[in-house]
Amino acid sequence: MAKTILIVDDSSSLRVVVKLALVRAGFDVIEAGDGKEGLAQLAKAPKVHLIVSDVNMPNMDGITFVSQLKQQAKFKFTPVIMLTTENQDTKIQQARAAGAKAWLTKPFDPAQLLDAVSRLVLA
Amino acid sequence: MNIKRRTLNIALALAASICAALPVLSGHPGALEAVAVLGAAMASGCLAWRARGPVGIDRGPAKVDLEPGHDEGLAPLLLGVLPVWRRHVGAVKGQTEEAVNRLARSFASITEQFDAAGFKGTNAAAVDGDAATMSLLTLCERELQPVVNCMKGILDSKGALVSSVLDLSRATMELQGMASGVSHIAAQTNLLAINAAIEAARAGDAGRGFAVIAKEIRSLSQESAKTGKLITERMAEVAQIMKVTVLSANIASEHDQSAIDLSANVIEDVLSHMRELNNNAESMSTQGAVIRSEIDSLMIGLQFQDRVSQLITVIDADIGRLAGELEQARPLPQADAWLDDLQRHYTMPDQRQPSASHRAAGVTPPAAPAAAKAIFF
Repeated sequence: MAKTILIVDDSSSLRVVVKLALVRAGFDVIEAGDGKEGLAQLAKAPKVHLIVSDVNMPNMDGITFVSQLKQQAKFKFTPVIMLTTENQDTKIQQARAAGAKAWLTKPFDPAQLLDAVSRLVLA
Repeated sequence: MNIKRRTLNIALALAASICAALPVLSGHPGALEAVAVLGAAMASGCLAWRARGPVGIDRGPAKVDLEPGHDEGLAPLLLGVLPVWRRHVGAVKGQTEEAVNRLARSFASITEQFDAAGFKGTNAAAVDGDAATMSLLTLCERELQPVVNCMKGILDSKGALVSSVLDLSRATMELQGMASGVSHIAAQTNLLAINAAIEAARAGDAGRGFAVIAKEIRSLSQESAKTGKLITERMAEVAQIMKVTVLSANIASEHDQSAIDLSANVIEDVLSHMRELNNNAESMSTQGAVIRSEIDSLMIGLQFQDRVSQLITVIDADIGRLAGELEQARPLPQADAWLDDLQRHYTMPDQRQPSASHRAAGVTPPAAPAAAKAIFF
């Protein structure tokens, strides 16, 4: 059975690109436009194996999203990859402290994303 | 520096920010044109205004003094123009996002169709498919070769049976000879009994008992002759049956050999087609890998819209901030302070790094960065 990945990004075109890479690798994908929507999607999704989240988003940014996610026991061990144009060390450290497992900078190479996803989903 | 000059410098900085987005759009003519027109309009408007008065511009490619009084209308002008700029910025953002969305979805659809056509390339599913083809070929070779061997074994067994039937036929011929021997002995015995009867008759009364024995012997020899004849006849029938059996077995063996040869040829043809299919699959896999590589490059390229959107969002917010400050008629900060505040909203390294040297319009910042390696925590 295919594993499910949640993409959280306010750019719909970016979501399409990420989804294309993941679907081609055999994953099921669900989408959210910001952190709030991401939490709502997680509340109703039966099982999400990994999350790919942007950092800078309206309504709720990616780091707040990860912090709130990790407060829920159900998602304590759900790996999160931050996929963002940001590369400031302070932001990277904030994401790490919030509970993210990896940081990948846009523009991303699909092979690198799939490598990171494979390492975290199979870990 | 008065408020008009500061306003002018800030507006120039915004125009420079618009121009900073241009390299990100290189290779995307529609979006490039839209942003370029907007940036050029902002920059030229500001520079034209700057050229009309003695207000000193302390940053930028040219320093021009503006005549006193010529900058009085700058704030009202910007209040009128800034909303228009924002509207255009919003249009650029919306149109590029919509166009790229359509492009990305069409591209995703094309990619799915390529995958469905078997050009999956080297991803996991394709490798599984190749392995399945290889495994099917190996399976066919492994399963079909024993069938041919088994059929050859059956033919060999039939050959042994035919050989046994031939032996039996030869034994029947020998039995026929033996049956002839029996008939010959019976004839000789009969002849002997006749002679004995003659000699018994010549002996008169003394030979009467011997004549009875000779008669019985003659009777037995005649019975033996009949039996020998029957055996010979039956053996001839058996020999005929054996002959027909051997002939039929030989014909059947020839048919079996033809059937096995045909089956072996058909199996070899099937395996040959399988090998050809496998070669085609390998060729498609190679082509698929090339297509996949191109797809990956395009997927990186399609991410430009996200970067443009972030650049434009910052610019739009800053135009709004300038308009808000002008509406409130608050004293504007120095351009440096304004730009430092603007920089806090930057989200990409290529926005931050060139900021000091690219605050003036017309200076080209570096192109968007290539894909970076992932950091694992």
